[in-house]
Amino acid sequence: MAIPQNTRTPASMMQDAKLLEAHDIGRTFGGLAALSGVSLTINRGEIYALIGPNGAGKTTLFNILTGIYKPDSGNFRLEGVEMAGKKPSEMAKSGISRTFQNIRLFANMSAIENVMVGRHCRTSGSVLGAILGNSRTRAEEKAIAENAKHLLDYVGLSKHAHMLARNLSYGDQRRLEIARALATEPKLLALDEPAAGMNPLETDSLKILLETIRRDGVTLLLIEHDVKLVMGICDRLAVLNFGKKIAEGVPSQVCSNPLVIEAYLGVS
Amino acid sequence: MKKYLKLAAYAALLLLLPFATGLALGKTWVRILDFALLYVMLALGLNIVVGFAGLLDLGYVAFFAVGAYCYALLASPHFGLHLPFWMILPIGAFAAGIFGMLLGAPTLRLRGDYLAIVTLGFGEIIRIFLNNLDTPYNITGGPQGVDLIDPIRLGPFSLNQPPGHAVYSYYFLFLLFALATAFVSMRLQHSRIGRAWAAIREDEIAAEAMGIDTRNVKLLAFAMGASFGGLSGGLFAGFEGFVSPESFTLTESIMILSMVVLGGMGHIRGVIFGALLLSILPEALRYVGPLEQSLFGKIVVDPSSLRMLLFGLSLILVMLLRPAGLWPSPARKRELLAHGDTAKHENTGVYDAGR
Repeated sequence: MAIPQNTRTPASMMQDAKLLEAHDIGRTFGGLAALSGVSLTINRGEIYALIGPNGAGKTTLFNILTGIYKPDSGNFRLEGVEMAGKKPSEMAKSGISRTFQNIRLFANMSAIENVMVGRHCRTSGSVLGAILGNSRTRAEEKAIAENAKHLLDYVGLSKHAHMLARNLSYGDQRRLEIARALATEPKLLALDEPAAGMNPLETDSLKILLETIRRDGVTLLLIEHDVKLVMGICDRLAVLNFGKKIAEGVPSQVCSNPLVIEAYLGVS
Repeated sequence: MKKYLKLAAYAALLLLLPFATGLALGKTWVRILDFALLYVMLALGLNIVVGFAGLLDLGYVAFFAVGAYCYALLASPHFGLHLPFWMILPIGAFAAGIFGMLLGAPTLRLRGDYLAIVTLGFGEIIRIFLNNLDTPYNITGGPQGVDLIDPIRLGPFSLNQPPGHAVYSYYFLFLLFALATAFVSMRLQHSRIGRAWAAIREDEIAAEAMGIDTRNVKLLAFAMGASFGGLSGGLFAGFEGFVSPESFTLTESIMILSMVVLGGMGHIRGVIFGALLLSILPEALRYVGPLEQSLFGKIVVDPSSLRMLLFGLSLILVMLLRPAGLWPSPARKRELLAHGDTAKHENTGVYDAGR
């Protein structure tokens, strides 16, 4: 099943294969250079992973790409549009949506309402419209609910639509976060450790979901510690260590890179 | 059909209530009803900020004051202006909305306790300004306030007109406004905007990351809540014919907040219930004095101190026994029952749970 609201052009019609280009991104906290001179390119329709030991700067880079932090230096473009320094809400509007490492759902709202919130930036119902309840507003509300229903179905949560988010199982909460992020119609879906805390069974079904999302035309960026998942699913990946990119390429290449082995295992 | 019957019954009740009250208890009690309706409007306005968007506001009465003074200054001999009420009420609501944004703008990054302190300060600033803006130019009338305010007039018909029966005509006017306020609240809650407010209440960072411009949506909550306050302020000024800074103290802000919390934050019916309860029940204490007199031959406990005692006691009891308020929204109740799997699935449109 295709992601319902997708109206984007098929990848074959795109002139440019590059979706996101980051150039020379740097960020310091106090005196510590969390990131320096990181450049990377994410192509349309691929699953791109970001790995590295703890403290390597993965989350910092992730937060820069999603607008939580502003980079101290460097810039990045989404489809050629300069993005560095935009607010998170503007990032979402421009097509970069995200999930969180420690799940941040709207805990006391139902699953479907969580997804409906994701439609906010693609809809325009105003205060006046809400009060008057005119046909345009009502039609839009209906479309929002329909869309949210489809997305819940898409991630396999339709039978829990009216459960409060806080009462969902851990794996379902992760899926709901993905559905909510998809509701913003992202071009790039950024997932911060989506498999963290999942059992092997849940990880497997997550893998299938991620591949489905990719197949339906959304590019994925993911930070992940589960090396087996990363190697099994991503097309390309970058390895960060001490705030610098030490390797980039297809999984088999990166695995045999001595710098990567050193970063993960130390030198003998 | 049954629904219409129920509606008709409610309508009849609301229409006959003031006359029944007037006959049984006297006009003082009709006046109390009038004030109760004003409090309903105020509580619903504050509920937008506190209940929907989850922003604690301890200076809400300031917006009530802005609305009231707008009316007072534009329809009294103070400046010699006598604009009709249908012009002043929107002006007052709009002015209060502007003040709401003025309060909202510098507090956008604040939450919880810190926000509460700033809003409390804001409420006091407004009151102190009203108190002191009589020099060098007499704008607000200072501590004396503004009097001889024009009554609300509908065409040639002044609501003060049937002499001595003003409380009845104002009852219907206030009822109309209170119902409209409730209607607007309800529509807002179940809209795209209401969902955005709820999302901010739940998790501001996630809301921002999902494409909600939290700055604008929070300012909108402040402005909407404030304009409700300004509207009821205007009605209050027309009804009373007199305003002074004394009516807009911190105690008043706390009272309105208590109505929201006691009734059930974020739940419109609960908030209305809370407002009615806290504005009507304390008035029953006016019988305690004479009762003590007749029972013991003297006043044993001063009724006014009893009022604060009972008020405090009831708040403590509610917080202990019904932490979600006396009449919480179904979602909030579910959440406190903790057994999520048994959640009733028919409540589809409910996203008014508090924290």
